[in-house]
Amino acid sequence: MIISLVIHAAPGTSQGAQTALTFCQAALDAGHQIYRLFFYEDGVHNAHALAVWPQDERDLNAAWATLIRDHRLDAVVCVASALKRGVLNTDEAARYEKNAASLEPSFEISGLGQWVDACLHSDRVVSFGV
Amino acid sequence: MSTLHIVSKSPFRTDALQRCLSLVAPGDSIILIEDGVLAVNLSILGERISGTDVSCFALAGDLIARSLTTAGTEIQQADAASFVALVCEHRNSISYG
Repeated sequence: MIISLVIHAAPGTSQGAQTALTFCQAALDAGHQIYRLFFYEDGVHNAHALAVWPQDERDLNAAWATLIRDHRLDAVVCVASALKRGVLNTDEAARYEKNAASLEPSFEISGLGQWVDACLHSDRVVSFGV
Repeated sequence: MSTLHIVSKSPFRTDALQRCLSLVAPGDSIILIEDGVLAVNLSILGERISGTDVSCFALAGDLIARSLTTAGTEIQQADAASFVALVCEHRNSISYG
């Protein structure tokens, strides 16, 4: 089946991001196609490249980046959610004259239209961290 | 057209479980995840699903993390692969926060 996920939860504040990651891995293991991962509201913190995790905690930011790269997943962060939380790619950092980009490169910044598109093209959509 | 109801919040902190139970229909399933598994022994849940064709599941890892068990209930344990299968078996899903 074709499945898309929307992730509302930040990695450090609730379990939702962890659950979504585990679900995504299990879906891929079962042979399903992940059409899109859409990170919304506080979920954009999963795409933060500058987060540094304690050694005795699972680095969810790195885990997402690895999963996305290994499976060439389409991972989109909502632009409005991302900018106000300081998650910027190099283009946005230049546009707003910020001195650093913070988006992990395996993610893309785009708009809610990408989630609408995912809903239209997926057999199943699941929300995590609501 | 069946629905999978995904409850992720503690019944002692939000009304997520109550909203789920008010909407669940015959043929639907419920899965308790994260702090939602704290509802596993609540009579309000057991009474709602008993004798109906509504199936209820709880994520095993989240139960273990909270020292909970489904013993003595009609709730079945699910792992991540079962969670994915439940999503595929139902046309829609609703996540309750």
